[in-house]
Amino acid sequence: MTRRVLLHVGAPKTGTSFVQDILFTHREALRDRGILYAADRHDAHFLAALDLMELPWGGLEREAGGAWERLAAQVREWPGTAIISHEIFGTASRVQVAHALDSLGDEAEIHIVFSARDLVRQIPAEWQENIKHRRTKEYGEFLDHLRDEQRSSEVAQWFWGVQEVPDVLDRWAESIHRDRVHLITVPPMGSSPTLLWERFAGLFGIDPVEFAPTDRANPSLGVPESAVIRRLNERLNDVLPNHHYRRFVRELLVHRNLSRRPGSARLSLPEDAHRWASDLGRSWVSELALRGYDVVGELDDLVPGTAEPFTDPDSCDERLVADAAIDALAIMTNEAARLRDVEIELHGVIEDLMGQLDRFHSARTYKARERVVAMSRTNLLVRGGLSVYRRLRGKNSRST
Amino acid sequence: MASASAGDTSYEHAVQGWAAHLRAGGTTPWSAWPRSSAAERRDPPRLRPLPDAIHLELVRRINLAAERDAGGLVGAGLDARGLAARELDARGLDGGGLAGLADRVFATAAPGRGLLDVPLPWPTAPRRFGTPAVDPSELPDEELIRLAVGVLAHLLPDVPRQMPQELPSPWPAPWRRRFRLHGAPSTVAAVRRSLLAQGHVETDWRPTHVVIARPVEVMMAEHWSAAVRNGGILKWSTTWRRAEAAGRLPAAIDVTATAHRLQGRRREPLHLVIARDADGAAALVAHVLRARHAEILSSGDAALSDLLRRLNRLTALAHGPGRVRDLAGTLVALLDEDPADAATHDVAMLVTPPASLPWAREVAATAAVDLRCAGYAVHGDPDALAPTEHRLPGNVDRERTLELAVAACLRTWPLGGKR
Repeated sequence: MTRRVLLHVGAPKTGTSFVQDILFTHREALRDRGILYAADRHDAHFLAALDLMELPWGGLEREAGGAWERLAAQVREWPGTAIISHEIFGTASRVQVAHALDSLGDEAEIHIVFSARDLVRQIPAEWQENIKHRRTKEYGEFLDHLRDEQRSSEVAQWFWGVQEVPDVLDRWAESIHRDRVHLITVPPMGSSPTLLWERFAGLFGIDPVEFAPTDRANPSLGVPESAVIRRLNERLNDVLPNHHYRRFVRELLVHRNLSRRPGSARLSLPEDAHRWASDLGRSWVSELALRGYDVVGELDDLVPGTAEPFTDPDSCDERLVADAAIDALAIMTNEAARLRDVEIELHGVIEDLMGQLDRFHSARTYKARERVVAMSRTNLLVRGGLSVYRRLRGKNSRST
Repeated sequence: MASASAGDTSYEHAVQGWAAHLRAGGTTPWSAWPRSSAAERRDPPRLRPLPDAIHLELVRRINLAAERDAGGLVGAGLDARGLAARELDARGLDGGGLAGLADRVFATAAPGRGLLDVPLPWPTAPRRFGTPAVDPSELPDEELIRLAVGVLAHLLPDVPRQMPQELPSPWPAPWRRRFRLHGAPSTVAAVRRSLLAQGHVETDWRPTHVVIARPVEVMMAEHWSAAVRNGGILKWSTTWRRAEAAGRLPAAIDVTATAHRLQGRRREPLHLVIARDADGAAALVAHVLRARHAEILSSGDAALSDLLRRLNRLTALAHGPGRVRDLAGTLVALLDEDPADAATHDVAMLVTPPASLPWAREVAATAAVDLRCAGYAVHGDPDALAPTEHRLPGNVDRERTLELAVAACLRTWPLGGKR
């Protein structure tokens, strides 16, 4: 049986989270069908990517040591199809790609999978992703960085590293036959909600109906909500540790609440940036058409659509921002109250335990033993007797 | 100038040729590398993947540093090239050694975020995608440091760790003083070494407490240096921002809080020593403890701290958090081996980042008032705590960090990399 490895290397904001969620949730059932998704935790492949690329990630990288080698070892040992998936693999350099491919074994049939969405939708989504990762750059400045041809800022280096489809595939697929390079396109807005999953599932050899998506999503923020989080980052960046930020800001505020506020304007591109991104997107499509990769979907899905109304998050209506901020404050106040209740409950538990301990300490037998231990400090005879007792009992006890 | 498009064989041949030249210890820059000479016609070893501008330029800088190191010992009028080669050979960095180090560099991926696979400028059809071409000599130092740190993280675990030399055991002198030093970490360490060498004893049993204070930016620099030696990863500017956000100096250098904590202990006199320079502080401590004043040098190369914090971040990932301090210690020991190296450099003093200067002034002024009013035995002028006024960027000199990183690669390779 041929060992197949499907290496899904990006891009971010193309449905990767929900694909990884399905693969992780159903990993046992998939294993029974000969498909390995080797992960003992939800973010196992993310940690492997951090390890492979030696990427710092707000302290999480400290949990990533050896994660790539462990994953590669499991994949090497698997006789059937193995899937590795994380969107940040896209930014690997050629040296890292060579190392990754080498470590998957010489005899494996390696397939590179890349999912792509049109640039006009990707740019605002990436800025919001930046904001959710504690960045404070305004949208206008972010766009300027992306348009800097020298890519001198870290923002631009990262963005193009994961999003520039022809270059990512140049790096990852240099030594792979084009038949084994699969480009999955994200359908345009208004398409069937299951179409993207069907494209992934078809490529992975999975029944899209049997392993249906759960409701896990990576929702996007509206414009005023993005402004609130960006300003909040400015206040919190030097005082709030990452693990608290992840729990309270990213999870609680953004994912569970602010991204679900109805009625807010969605982020898009200003007119000139839309024109520039559309031209660039079309040039990518022309280039990709020449390369002869296996396209799952339509290359035209990557051609940007018409411009949508633009609301600038750098100067949006302050009343809307205040409204979103008040909602955020209400959410945080509720959470603080909930945690306070938990704290009170835990104090009750501690008091109960302390009471039990006191009752134990006030027992006559305990007091007698305490007296013997105290006497042993000054009385040689008692010390000797205690020593003999402890030896006979077979273990040392500091309490008696 | 454009870069080559994918599959451009003349470009690849030229890059392979230059890489072979660099592997052999060459130092010719890319801009002077002949495009159609004999060098191009040779059949150089095929490196896969093709090295990018950052890898190639780092190897060239390493070769330049190796040549400079060896050349430093060569006298005028002698056969400089021959002597340099012999000197490199003696250090395990002959042509073969340098080729091995070059291969290590080529096989190392630049860790973390930055420019990705930077192509070299090439006069053919421009590549339409990917990172734009950069002349290697114009690459930002940051990119070369990033790769050099990646190389060091690979090499350091194999370097045998030298245990720090213990000070000669002091005579149990009857006149010895009991002391306990607090405050600016590097100055404290230097003064402590001097006192212990004289036979005085640092103890918790009825000591004379001496709190050493220096200008706030010096104390912060010493705190930063101590933190990165213990595995810290924060930048200089971030260290300031964090302190400002917390509204106080880090505990070790918060001299007013320390003095307040130590005040009023029975048979434990407290003295505060304030000086702008390390030797001034040492003189005042010697006076307080009636010890001999031995001259001490200002210590701490900010670039070394900068290199360490970058390394710590990577070694935590590559070798586990448990090895971070150990590997940082190995690097410090390697770079400290030749103090003359540091002495020959004009080590720029770190200054307060401009954004934090108002807060630094405020902290220093408040501390000066506290020290004057609290009735401590203060030696020196509390106003000396004030930060240096400046119009500098308040950053570490990256050029110096790169220089140190390259020196560290050269020193590490013969010790660990060749195994």
